[in-house]
Amino acid sequence: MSDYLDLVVLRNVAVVALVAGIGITVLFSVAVRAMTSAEEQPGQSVAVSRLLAAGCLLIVAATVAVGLWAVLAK
Amino acid sequence: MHDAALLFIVVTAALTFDFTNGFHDTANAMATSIATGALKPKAAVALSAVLNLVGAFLSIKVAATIAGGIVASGAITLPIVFAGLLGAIVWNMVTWSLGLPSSSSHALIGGVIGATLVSAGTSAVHGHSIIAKVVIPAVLAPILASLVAMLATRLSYRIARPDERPRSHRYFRYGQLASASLVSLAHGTNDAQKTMGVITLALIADHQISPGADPPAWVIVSCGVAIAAGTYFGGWRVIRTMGHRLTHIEAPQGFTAQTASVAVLLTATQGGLPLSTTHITSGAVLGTGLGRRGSDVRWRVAGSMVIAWVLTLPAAALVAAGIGLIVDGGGTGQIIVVSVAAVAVLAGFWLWSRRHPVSADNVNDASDRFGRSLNSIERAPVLEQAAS
Repeated sequence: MSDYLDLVVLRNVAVVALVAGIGITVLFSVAVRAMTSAEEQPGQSVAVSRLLAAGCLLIVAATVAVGLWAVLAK
Repeated sequence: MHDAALLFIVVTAALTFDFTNGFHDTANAMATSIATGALKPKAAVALSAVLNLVGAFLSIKVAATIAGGIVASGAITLPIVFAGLLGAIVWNMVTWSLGLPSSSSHALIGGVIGATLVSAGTSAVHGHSIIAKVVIPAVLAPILASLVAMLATRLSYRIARPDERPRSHRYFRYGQLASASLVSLAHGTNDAQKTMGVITLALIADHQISPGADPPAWVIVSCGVAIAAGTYFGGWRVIRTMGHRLTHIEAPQGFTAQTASVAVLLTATQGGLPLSTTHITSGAVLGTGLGRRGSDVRWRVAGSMVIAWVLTLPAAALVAAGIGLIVDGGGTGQIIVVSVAAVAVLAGFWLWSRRHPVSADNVNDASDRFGRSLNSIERAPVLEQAAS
């Protein structure tokens, strides 16, 4: 297959796609869990849950922005 | 005068292909959002259309030519481009009628290959490039996307526990708005440029612009509008297949499938791997079906989809070769006659599709392309399913 495709590029694409795809989903899921925890168990620290959710969503937004920028600036 | 008429017909065919590309691929971005109720069907296709239009203006760097390196550039003439486009349009209509997601890019490449073969012979087609740019990516894209989506879905359900916390579905639906928008934007950026490349190629072949020139502004605008209009028209049949027939999708799955699609699509684009948006998104939907415990993947539908993928290039090539035999070396009159015949064929597909119409009103009714309820098929024993 190396005659047809640069295997290093393929490996890099696979690794980055796995890390980015899974990473974003995990961060978003943590944010969702934090938000639902804050809603369902208001006795607990709501502020901390919301802060955690906001932090996760910020990282997700930044990752997507960097990804888009990298592709469009190419 | 004849050249001007020929160029006009080729540009019209290219914009028609762009339109079919748009409505065929609406499902890529919006099928899961529509299926989970994150967006109403009409709102989903409107949002996707706007973002496809925006995407078309974001970059013109890949608008060289979609078939670049696959066929000898010296062999490409206006009749070949015309035949290639018609081959791709016809195959897009066939797969749309059957509700099967298939790659419009591969159809276009197949069309150009078929037309080139009959016009310039096998020496004008580069087999090595076909394997590198079409065959290997077609195998890799769904595997990679389904792997990412499957792992992401498993982790997502473990972390967010949407089965125990129904409220979390609402947040995942919000997330779907963002992830579906990104897929639409990426689709507009990638696919509108392919048609821009085809029209630019035709303009170069007709000596209207010099080789290496950027697409004129009217080409960029018309391609953006054509793909957006096609997207808004909505390929409801393919949307139903992706959203309901392949597997049952919940909001967290919709989000992970779209996120996996965006991750693979953007990474592949950055790395220069020519992966098909359709193969990526279909693979991701399949992967998310495999990733959720208790979820079901309808392998018969998946098998039909894979068969359509395998057939896309040779089928489009065959149609284009037939058209190429008629129009190559002929005059503008022959091309006009073929164009009229093609319009009749396309009208025939549309009329055939009206026998079992799928629209925004019934896209979420879980039935197959013959109008049979998928819910009853789901409940039927496995042996009965096989017999049906």
